[in-house]
Amino acid sequence: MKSLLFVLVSLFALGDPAADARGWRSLTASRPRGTVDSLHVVLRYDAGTVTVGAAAAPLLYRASARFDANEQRLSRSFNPVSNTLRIGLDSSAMRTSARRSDRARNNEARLDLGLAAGIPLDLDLDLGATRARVDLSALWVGALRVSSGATEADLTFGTANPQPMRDLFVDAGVGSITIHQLGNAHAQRATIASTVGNVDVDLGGDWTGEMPLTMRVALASATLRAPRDVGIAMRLSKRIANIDSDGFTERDGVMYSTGYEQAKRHVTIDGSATLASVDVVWKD
Amino acid sequence: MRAAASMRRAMRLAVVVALATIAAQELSAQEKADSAALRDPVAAALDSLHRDANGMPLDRASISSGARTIESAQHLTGDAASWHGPLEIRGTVDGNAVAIGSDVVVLPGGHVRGDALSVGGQVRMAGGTVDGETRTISAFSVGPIAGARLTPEQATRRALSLAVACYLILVAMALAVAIGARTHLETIASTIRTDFWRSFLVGLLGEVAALPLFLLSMVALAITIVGILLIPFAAVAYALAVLGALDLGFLAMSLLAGDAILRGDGSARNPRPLVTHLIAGLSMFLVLWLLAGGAAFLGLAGSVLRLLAFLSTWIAATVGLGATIMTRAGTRNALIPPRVAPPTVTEEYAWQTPTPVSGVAAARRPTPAPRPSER
Repeated sequence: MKSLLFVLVSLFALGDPAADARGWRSLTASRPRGTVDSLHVVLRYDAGTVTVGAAAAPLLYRASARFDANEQRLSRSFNPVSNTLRIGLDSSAMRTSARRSDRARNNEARLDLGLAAGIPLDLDLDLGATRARVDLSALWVGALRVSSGATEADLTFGTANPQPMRDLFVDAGVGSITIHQLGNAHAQRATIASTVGNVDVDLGGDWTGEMPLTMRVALASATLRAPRDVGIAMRLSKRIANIDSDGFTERDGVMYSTGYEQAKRHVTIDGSATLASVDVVWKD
Repeated sequence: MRAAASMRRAMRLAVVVALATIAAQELSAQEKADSAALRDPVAAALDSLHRDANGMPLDRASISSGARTIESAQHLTGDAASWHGPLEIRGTVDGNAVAIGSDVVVLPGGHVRGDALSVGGQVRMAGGTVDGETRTISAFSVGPIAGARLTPEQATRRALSLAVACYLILVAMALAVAIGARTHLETIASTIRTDFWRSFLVGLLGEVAALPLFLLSMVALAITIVGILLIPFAAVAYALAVLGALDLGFLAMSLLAGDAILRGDGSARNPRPLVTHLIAGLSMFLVLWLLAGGAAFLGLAGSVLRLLAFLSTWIAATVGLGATIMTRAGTRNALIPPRVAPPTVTEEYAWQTPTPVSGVAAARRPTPAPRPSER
């Protein structure tokens, strides 16, 4: 019986050691910008690490990827009529045994995507269980939708958007998303949602006037980091939620930060917080 | 003792034969695939290129073996491709430029209106232009991608790995149960032995009722705010309880199977080596699944084997679940105690007030009629 057990364990443990080495693929793809005057990017990436940033000047996009062809399917396409770039990594065929998962963790898939600066970009990023670094500095983002599952994401607006962003929507899902210098996005409408996850939003950046922000937080925590010269008006419908309201005064159901009237720029926050905590942290 | 030893030898032999058969079939399938690629490697590569998500369809006429150059005076209206040789573009290609196993080099004056693709090499821009996409892939990736049908070899490997993994997990659980819940396991096994069909019916009922019960309990919890908070925990606890009951019951069935294999009759002699019997029973199911997993090549016979393995396992799990439910996870004996016939009550004691002996109603003791002298 012992020898039988030994044979079975060996059979299971050894598997096919060459399969992993055979599975990994690399891909690079780039396209010259040519006469393209806008770009719509649809990114569906469900495992591994993904980075998004600016591409070198003559290029419309540049993608560099590494993936396991035994377990993942990477596809990309560009529609020259609608100027739509689609890139997707699908791991739904991924094997589920712990042995394979451990190896996959050690050799994670990766995608580095560079996009053209100087033309309006509509970005639709659907991130599964990834680590994402999205640096939109130097890019002109017309609209941005980030939807994540269990993603650990970092979203940076390092420079001011050349034109106001029509729409910004970020859903942290059950993951965590950190947004740096959201003010640089110049979003006409911004929505940040989190369910069970964690969002950390820096309201800094080069902006003036009003910034409307909708927050929907459930079973999650949200931290808003605001420069001291910003006035905040917050109208959140609370359901068993904890909102750090130190330094805020409530009038007509709206919580105003100290010196709201004197502030040169204002953030208006509305939305809901259910079984959640919302903290406002002032930064210098 | 001799019978048990011969049974063990037979089991080992069966496993070895099954594994050897599978290995031989795998090798045979691999050889067939390799020989097809060897007969026409270009056709095989073009097929892979077509099926690859990052490849493209390419006409056989557009590809040539070895190094290839599109001269500056040339204007190619279709695609240009090379097989294991660099493709140099000095002229104009209206279609795509593809090099399989080598580089695409776009030299000054060279112009590719479509895409430039290299498989296993690079696309080098040396002064020319590419209107479309410049792309390099290290190799074809036409593995088991999403939605793709697994080859018999892959299906076999996956099935065998799954069977062995499940077996090892169950063996670990069997050891834990043998150490920590031996009495419970014996009680469940005893219930199955004496009341198999009732256990099966209760198990079937349990399987049917599992989901509605779960939904009902979730709805009941959702009525109150505190209950809502408990839903995730309750869901996990419920799942663990169901899985635990299934596992305990299945182990009890495996114990009985082990009894049957090693002793002929599990109830004949006590005590028995519990772990050995458990593993023997689990091994019987493993052999079934190994045979079913290795039968991916056998068409209808393979399907029948898989069905047989599934049915055996399902019946074992259902019966075990039923016995687990009936015995409250082995904490009480589900057997109905034999009815004891009430003792015969004689007239002599029938007059007594209620007693454990007869349980009759109180009655007056019969007394003889008074004599005339006493009146």
